[in-house]
Amino acid sequence: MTRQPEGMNTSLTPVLKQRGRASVDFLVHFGRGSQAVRAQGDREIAAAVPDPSSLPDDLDERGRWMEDAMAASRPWRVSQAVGEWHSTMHGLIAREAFEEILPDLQPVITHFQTNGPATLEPAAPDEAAPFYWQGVNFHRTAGGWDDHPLQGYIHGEIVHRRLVEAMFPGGIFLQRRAIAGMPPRDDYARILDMGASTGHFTAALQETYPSAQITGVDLSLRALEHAQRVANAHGWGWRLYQRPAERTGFAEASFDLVASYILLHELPAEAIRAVFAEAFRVLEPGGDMIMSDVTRYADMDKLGVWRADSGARYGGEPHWREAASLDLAEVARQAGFVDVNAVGLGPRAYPHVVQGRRPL
Amino acid sequence: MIDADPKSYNHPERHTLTEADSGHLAAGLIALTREVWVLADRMAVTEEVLARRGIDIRAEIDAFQPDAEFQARLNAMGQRLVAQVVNAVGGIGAD
Repeated sequence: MTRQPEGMNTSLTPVLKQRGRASVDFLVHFGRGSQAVRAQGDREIAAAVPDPSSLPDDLDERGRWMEDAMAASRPWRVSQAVGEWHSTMHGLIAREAFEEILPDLQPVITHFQTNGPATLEPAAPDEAAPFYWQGVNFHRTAGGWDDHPLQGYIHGEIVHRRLVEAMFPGGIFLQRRAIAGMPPRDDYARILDMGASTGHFTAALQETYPSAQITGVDLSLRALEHAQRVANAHGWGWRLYQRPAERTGFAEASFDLVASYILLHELPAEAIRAVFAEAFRVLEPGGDMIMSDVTRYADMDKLGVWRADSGARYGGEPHWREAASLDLAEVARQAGFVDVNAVGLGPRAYPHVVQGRRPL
Repeated sequence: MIDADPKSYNHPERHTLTEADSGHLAAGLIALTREVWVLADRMAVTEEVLARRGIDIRAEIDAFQPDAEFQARLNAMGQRLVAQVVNAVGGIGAD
């Protein structure tokens, strides 16, 4: 831990005020309280599609077919309205809750941005972000990842730690820890986290391999700024860079483990192939790779694929379809990895985890 | 294939409610208005009773952090409120 000024709030954990707290909680109530309508909608979907294999092969055509088939279902229409409200409002409600507590938080945010062992190198001013990232409101976050100057805090601490954690208690952090522990060696010295974001998976890696020097890359400067605060608050010397995972700029053989968690579906297929190639390049011979992403479309029936594809369409996920349609094990082999294996963990094969090794 | 411009996902055209839902929507809104009024009335009465006893709790309410037991009560209340409104719009349990 780094030393804080006397009397300063020393925790990055948000202590929300009543309006913000109740509003963030309401998002959880909203999800749980609308379960009956969604369940009835699901029953009517099952009745409309007794044989999922008969659905159209083309995903766009399948989407139109399903929306036409379900248009007469009142619970389904209401489920769509419920989903749309949640998609558009969760980020704004989290932002409003944050603004209420910002005066109390500002000293601790400033302190951990600048005091501690973690470093952060922004992209050069003339370095343009890839086309697939520019202007995209991922997860339908209003204005995109970098619109609000403290979006990293809002996403990492309020959306993830308060909202998603309440919806899936313990789940998202336990999952990260479980995956961080999957690589074959007991210890690693130099780890690269591709798509480090606000540092949740990076923290799981650091806790699993306490002596490792961890480097993280991400396109979002706002997210990396929060990762830096998290690292400094724990005394971790992460080296963070605002760089694309497919073009990290690091020397060959720089790392003995390259990892990513739920990054790949935010990238088009071409960039995903480049990410695996880059992972191979920066790994030392004998080094290990582990990448986790969303359930493969190949592991679902046609109805399941429609659900995932529709969720992506309305959830601010423009690259999900391309990413989830890829055979990541094959992509890894094409990049040069050996001993490749891929497995869908947990319910509904989520997450999909690919591991491999750069040969000696 | 996906749209050529990924920004088209920022504001997708999603079909949700139709004219056929307007009557049910009104029923849901009225149910919600009643719940909001019951709560507003209760809050006003609570503050008035306390003020008459010389206690101003507004700042304390603003800073209040529920413990696990109270949070569970709040969760149950919130879920019930949402269910009443959404089920009214969606026609669940109406018959």
